[in-house]
Amino acid sequence: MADNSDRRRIGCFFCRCGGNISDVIDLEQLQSFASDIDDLEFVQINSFTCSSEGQANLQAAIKEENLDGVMIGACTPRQYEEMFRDTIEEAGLNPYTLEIVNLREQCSYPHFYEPEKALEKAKLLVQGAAGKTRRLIPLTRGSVRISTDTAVIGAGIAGIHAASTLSALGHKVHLIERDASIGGNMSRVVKIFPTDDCALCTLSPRMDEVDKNKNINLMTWTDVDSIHKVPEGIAITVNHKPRYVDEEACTGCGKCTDVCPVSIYNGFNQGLLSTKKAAHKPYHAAVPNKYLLEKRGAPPCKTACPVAQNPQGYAALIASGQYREALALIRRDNPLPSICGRVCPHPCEDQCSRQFAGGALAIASLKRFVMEHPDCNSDPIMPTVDKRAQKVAIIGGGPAGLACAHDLALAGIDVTVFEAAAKMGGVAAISLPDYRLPSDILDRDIAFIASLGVAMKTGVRVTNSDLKQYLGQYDAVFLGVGLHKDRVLAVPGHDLPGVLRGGEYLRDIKLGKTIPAGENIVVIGGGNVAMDVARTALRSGASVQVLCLESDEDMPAIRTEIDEALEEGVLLHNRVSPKQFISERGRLTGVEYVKVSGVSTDASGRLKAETTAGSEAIVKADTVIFAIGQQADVAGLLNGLDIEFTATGTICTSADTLETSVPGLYAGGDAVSGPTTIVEAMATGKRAARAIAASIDHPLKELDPYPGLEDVSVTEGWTLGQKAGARHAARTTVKVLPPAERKSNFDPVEQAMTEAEAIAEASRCLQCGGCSDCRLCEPACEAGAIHYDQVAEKEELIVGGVIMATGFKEYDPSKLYYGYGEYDNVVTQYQLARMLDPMGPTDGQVLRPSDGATAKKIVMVQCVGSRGDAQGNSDMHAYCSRVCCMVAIKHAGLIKKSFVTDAEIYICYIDIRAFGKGYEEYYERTRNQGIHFIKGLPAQVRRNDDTGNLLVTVDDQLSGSLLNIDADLVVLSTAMEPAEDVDPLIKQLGIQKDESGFIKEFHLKIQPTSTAIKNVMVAGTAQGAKDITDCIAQAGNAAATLAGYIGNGEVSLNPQTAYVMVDKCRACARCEDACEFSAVKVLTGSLAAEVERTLCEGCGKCAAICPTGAIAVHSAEIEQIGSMIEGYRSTGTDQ
Amino acid sequence: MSFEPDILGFACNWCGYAGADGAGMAKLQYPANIRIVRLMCLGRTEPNFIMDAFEQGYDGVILFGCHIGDCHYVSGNIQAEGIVQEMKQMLNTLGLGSARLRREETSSAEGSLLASLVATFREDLLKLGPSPLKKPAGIALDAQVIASTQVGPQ
Repeated sequence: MADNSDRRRIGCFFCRCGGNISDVIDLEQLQSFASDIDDLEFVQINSFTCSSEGQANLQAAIKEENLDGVMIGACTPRQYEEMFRDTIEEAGLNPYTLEIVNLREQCSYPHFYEPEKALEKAKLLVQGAAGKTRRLIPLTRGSVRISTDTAVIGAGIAGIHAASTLSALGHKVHLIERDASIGGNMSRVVKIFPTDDCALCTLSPRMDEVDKNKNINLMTWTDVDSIHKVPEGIAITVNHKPRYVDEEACTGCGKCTDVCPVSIYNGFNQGLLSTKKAAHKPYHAAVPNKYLLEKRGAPPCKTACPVAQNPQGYAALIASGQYREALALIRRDNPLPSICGRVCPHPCEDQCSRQFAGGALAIASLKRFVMEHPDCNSDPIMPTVDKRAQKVAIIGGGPAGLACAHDLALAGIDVTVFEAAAKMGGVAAISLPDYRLPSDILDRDIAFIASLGVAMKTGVRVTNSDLKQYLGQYDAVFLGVGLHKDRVLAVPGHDLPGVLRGGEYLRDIKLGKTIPAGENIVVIGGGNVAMDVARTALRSGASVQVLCLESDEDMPAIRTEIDEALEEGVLLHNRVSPKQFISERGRLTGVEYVKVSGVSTDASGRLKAETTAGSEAIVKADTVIFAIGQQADVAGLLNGLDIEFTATGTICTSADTLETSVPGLYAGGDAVSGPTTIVEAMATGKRAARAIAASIDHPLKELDPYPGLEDVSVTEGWTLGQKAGARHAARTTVKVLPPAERKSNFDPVEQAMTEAEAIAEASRCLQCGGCSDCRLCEPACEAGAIHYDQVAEKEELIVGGVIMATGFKEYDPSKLYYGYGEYDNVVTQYQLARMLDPMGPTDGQVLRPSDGATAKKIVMVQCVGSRGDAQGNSDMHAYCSRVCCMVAIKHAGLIKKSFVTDAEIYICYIDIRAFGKGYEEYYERTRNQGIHFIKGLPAQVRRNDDTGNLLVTVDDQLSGSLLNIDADLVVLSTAMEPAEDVDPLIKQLGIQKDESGFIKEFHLKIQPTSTAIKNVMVAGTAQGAKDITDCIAQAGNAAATLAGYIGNGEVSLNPQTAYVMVDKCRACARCEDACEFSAVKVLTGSLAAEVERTLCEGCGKCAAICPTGAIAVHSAEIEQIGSMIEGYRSTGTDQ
Repeated sequence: MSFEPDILGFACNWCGYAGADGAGMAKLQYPANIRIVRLMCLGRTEPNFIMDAFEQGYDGVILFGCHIGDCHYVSGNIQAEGIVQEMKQMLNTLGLGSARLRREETSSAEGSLLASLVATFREDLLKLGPSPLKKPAGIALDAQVIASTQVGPQ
């Protein structure tokens, strides 16, 4: 900064360095040169300035000569600068009034053979340094208090060891693990080399220790959301994911697992021959010994369902034979399951994740199976209801009204349903032909709703005055009156006798009336009602033709209904419109229709056809039935009430609450939405029930089973299912009566599944949501630890330092040509390790996963994913994963020794690397057990489809022969790669990754656990592939280094940091953008940048780009550097 | 006496300067024409430092820093590269020619690379000849600039 024009008293000390300097540079000449420089008041030559004697000389001179600055011409400042700062400070000088001239490494050494030139250069170096020293400004070191708490991220063996070491050194430790148990990859490896100790026997005591250690705050199932440097150290936001199990209350008894019907991917066993329950603990020795429900989010079938049913849950229950529980679960969301089991368009199946392998799950048929299972009808599980005083009237006993009644009754509200027809059920009861929904089936659902205490009054047509009276009598009234007025087209002849209306027609047939219909019936329409009418008419013995406006694929009817109608012999004319009905002597004889070239929608939402002139044709008809939609018929009922209607005549309501403009009057179903499906009508009834309950101060107890979780998508569901081992399995096709047998009667067309079919079909469910929300575990848990509505909780931690022990993940070998993921008998070493575990998925047997036969001929392939350079494969990592040779040797030896003693084992390798203490001997011992080591890797693995054996062809470079091995089992020694989702933490902390993606250490050789940030350490496989021994050594080192840095929390600050000259700053914030450490900021409302000293690393990027020179760096001031530039310049002997 | 170029170096503490120390420790010989200013990071390099050096009469300026991606301060070397590119354009405009300015990446382990880069730079500067801004005693700087622009860019 300020050019100090005052005279300085600088001492200059040249070091001979035992001849290293003085043999090349004539120091006496240099001394005399220096003595002529301004302000160099004292110039001395020492033998070893760094020795105690040299330092004493220095200190004496400072005092005797009253020096105010020091230059030392010696070795590189990188060697002793910090030491000399202390030396001069002891003598009373400010430590930052020191400048070192690098006379050794950058002068006498590299110009060893040119002493004259070295002397000339030395003079310039001294001259430049003098200029700088003259301008040096005393700085105060200062210190800052940081937290003495620490955090270790990742609780594998490295994290566990680091945490217990830090704790032993007196620091409180937050040990953060994202999995539900600590132990990391070591917990899965069964045995450890070279001692063949049991991995868990050595690991478990260490896990218990960190769990019980009061100085260690163990957080499992916890993610790190964000991590940043702050003046007090490092701020971490952790996210405690919900276990849905109260960790305090859980006793680890496992009863939740016993009742859980859901099986999902078992990560602990790498999915090998095993699944786990959604309610589980990660493995038998898990720490903490606590269970969790693994919930992923709402499965796509549930999100697709208008009433948000839980097909995943009841599929799981059916698969486990719990039909009564399945029905209770269905009824929780669906008041009319027997309808939905038969006539629902099942949007759930369209979204099923199973559709990619064998077809979507037959969800509707499964529901029907449960509905009709004897257990469910004789002894259903009844919900408990607390009665309330409030009363609600429901007008219309169709799906919307019944759904509303059901939900309100469950909440204890007194509900009365008024139905004009003689039966409850609305369209389902009075219009759906028996071949689709037999009346007795529907009656069961209605009886169930009645059993909840719903009063049902049939044959009561509510009048306008009744309604007005009810509005006063009841707390709320719900209108679910449906659409019952058939629409007709006003084409010439529409009023002829023989022109009927579809809704009326179906109703009359259902009531058993005989309808005088002829032999040639023409149905007009393309929706479900049209199909019902056509097929019903067919069953009266007529020949039936359907005229439909839409093209075949655009027809609104359910596809199967159309197909079945066609099978039964209905003739379909698409894209036509009736032009007139032809009569002879007042009797209908035919329909003239015209082809349609286009269909548009008019302003009111109705379809309008554009016809092609000249395309007219005539079909013979003695009866025409309109099935082109129905309208509400509510004008009389709602007369005098202040209610609005849409252009199509439906009732206007609030979209959320379904309340009309009359307070307390709600409406739903088709009378509001226009023609839809039964399930959508029920959804409106349920929605209205929720709003009504809330409006009368009795909100429905609704539990969001997926709080804060994102829905599972179809593709995600399939990916998860594949991971869990889902294979192609065809959908169970439900038996359908052949057209010839069904077209003359009203017997149900679709047959129910058999029990065996239902179990097989339900087992196809991928359980993509994880926990299915069946809620069986809640009553099973005697400790009352289950809480389905737990949500993630965030917590802020401030720590003095962090150890990153984030570990590794396994390389995915399915990218290579070894058949992994394609052939069951190709496994990884980790999966083999699981087989060798007596408590593992095979109970300690080495099997061929395809057929469970003992694997006798085993080929191990090394360097799968590692040493890609050696193999010229860019899909693989360049580095050596270090442990795989020893793992293969270990597993081969164990199999030969204890598991399959007559096994024939081949290890195909590039080089065997037995690098650690005792490893070579271990290798030697194993080799002597008769294991074949083959130098060379197979290019691919193929399968003999007849035997299931794997054909491995490998060129043995040592014998020069080509081997063809017919193997039972191929084991891939996969690479280690950096764990997933660590990158955001690396980025936020400002540390770096190496070219392989592992966390970069400060110095590969001598500071392997430090990072670019002083209080961030790295340990274990987060830093690079290594074995357990090395992980532990490194973790201990990281802990000790971090504890050394934090000490008692008082950390001295580097004063050589940036600072702002407020009067020059115009707050442009370029410095803020340049700073990688968030140390420079222009705060909102501030007119100048500010530097947070504790965060500043002193790099000077900010100063270099400041447009006004307002920001500078202590000890790297413009004037200081400028004086070096000037002083270093040759005086120009060549001129 | 024959022309010997005057070279100013800037080096970051962690890679460039440590590399130069490494070259020295290995007794690797390189021309004494260079004097290196030690900065904590090349990110500290201001355009003015480079302009100042040429104005002072240096024949060449060379920056030694970490490999891209290896910067001790994350991105200081990237910022320095931006400044070097700007300055190269400026040098072309001024007629000094961009060849007199270089940025090199030498890790702390690459002393031999650094030594050879210094030697090469000296040879290249010998071919370029003295900087037209070199200050002979008694001649005004302005006159030099005028003279150099008449010669044209190098």
